[in-house]
Amino acid sequence: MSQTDVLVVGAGPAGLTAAQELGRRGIRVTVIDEYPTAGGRLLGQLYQAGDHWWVGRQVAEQLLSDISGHPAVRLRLGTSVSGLERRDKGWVVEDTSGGEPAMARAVLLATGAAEIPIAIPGWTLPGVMTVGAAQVMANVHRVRPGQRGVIVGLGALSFAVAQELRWAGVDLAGIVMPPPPRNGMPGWTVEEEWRKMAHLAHLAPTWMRPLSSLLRRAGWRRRLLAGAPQAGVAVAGTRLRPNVAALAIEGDAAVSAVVLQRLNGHGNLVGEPWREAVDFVCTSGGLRPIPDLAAAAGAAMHYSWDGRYDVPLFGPCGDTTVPGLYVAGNILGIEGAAVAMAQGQLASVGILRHLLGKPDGFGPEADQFALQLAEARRHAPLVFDPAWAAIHEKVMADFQRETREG
Amino acid sequence: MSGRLTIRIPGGPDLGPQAETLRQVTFSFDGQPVVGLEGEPVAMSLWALGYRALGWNEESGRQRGLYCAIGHCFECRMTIDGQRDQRACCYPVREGLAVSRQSKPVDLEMQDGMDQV
Ligand SMILES: Cc1cc2nc3c(=O)[nH]c(=O)nc-3n(C[C@H](O)[C@H](O)[C@H](O)COP(=O)(O)OP(=O)(O)OC[C@H]3O[C@@H](n4cnc5c(N)ncnc54)[C@H](O)[C@@H]3O)c2cc1C
Ligand code: FES
Repeated sequence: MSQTDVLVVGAGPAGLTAAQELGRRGIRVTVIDEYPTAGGRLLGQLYQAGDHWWVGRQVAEQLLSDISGHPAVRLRLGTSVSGLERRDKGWVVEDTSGGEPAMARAVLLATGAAEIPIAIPGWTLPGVMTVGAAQVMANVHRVRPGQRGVIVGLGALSFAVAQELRWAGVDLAGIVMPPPPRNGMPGWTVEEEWRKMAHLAHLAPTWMRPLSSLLRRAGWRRRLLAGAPQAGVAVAGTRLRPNVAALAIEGDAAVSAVVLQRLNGHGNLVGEPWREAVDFVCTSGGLRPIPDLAAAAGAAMHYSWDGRYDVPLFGPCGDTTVPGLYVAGNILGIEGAAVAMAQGQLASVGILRHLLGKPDGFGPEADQFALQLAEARRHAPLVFDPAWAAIHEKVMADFQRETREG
Repeated sequence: MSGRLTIRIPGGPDLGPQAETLRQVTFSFDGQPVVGLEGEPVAMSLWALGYRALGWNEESGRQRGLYCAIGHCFECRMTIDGQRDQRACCYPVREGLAVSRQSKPVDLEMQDGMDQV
């Protein structure tokens, strides 16, 4: 059985940053990732933040080059971690390589986030993909997702990816809404989708930004969005069409058209549906953390009714309620890569404390990294979902209570 | 619907095409020789060639394609290098690799009980 000090699951910004911090101190670290390239979601990220460009691939390359200076850190790519089991002195970690399971004294879960599907008729046709998939195709592999597509659903990723596809020279029919739920269906409403607009207004062109305070008021929001031209308003290199919904996706062997219909101010469908020719469709249903391994390892969890906000309870240094099990990055909630990196640094402190048996050690480092986390949040170019701030407060308070009682 | 991209960002970094930096390799797709770029995922080589249907759903018989591109959804499962249910979006292409689609309608018809599904 291979033996290491720390096993990190996930080679995204959180996992790589923690590995680099630990490796720098000579701790033996194995980082496992199921993708053939290290970097996680950094690999596809591309946007202008203030006056500089955030090119995620370059950030990943820098992290990997720092890590290559630490011989104690090893990367194992193309391997999925399938299970974790706690033994008295540490963890047994199973993977899909068919080899012996690995033993580690501590485990860091940095498994990131997944996209939530939007199921509308025709969504299983080849050519329907998540908006993140289109980002990976264009920015990571430079493969054209299609000639002309449409994005269904509003969110920070819709705008970011629309802009990236524009740079890649891929044509879009715009960003449209998912269809309103049929009578009696719980959950999603057009009104909810529109409410997100107010939080995304900083991404809009300058002339539109003053509208963001109006968009926060329900009456104005309804009037403005329902009154938008059917062809949409220019945003992020494409056209935002807030009063147009995608009812269905059509095609024989692959996508050939999307069926659209107008929405009124109450979010109801009005008028006759029409077709627009597209050869790919991106759905943007939002992101959720991937906490499965934490739950399987017995960490106390915070659960939500639809699974969107399921996260392990965690402490200031990425500690969970299980000794020797740590968490960092989007497994804790959806935020940008700079936040994930700061969380990786904090988790490295938690892990050092555990390995060296010094629960109060590395105070100055912990303080410095906590400051960096606050900085990263303050300067975040994208706010994915404002609900996370309150959830984090609750989850950290629950963690304190659980560990005090335990 | 197919093809490779060059990404030129006005006033920003030029990402350039991937095709210039990676070596071309030949692998097989349902027995036919096709060309991809070494190390890119199988699903990307196939998409760039215009092949979007990566298999058929075992129950509905409908065509399936890449959906998440990062290993989460398993919609891209194919038989690769003799192993079933490999994720084509995460499996790197190499010279001589054998890739085939699963659950073709002709295979499904021959299975017992399909008429009742
Ligand atoms: C599709 C998508 C697009 C995004 N685009 C942006 C963007 O444009 N801008 C932005 O700021 N943020 C974006 N994000 C948010 C993104 O999650 C954060 O920016 C950041 O990358 C999170 O870092 P992380 O290290 O927590 O996770 P990730 O970067 O997601 O890395 C997690 C890694 O863990 C690996 N992994 C997961 N489970 C296993 C397992 N069981 N075994 C082995 N390996 C595993 C994955 O392959 C992945 O490489 C995006 C998120 C998603 C899901
Ligand atoms: S496309 Fe989702 S796992 Fe491959």
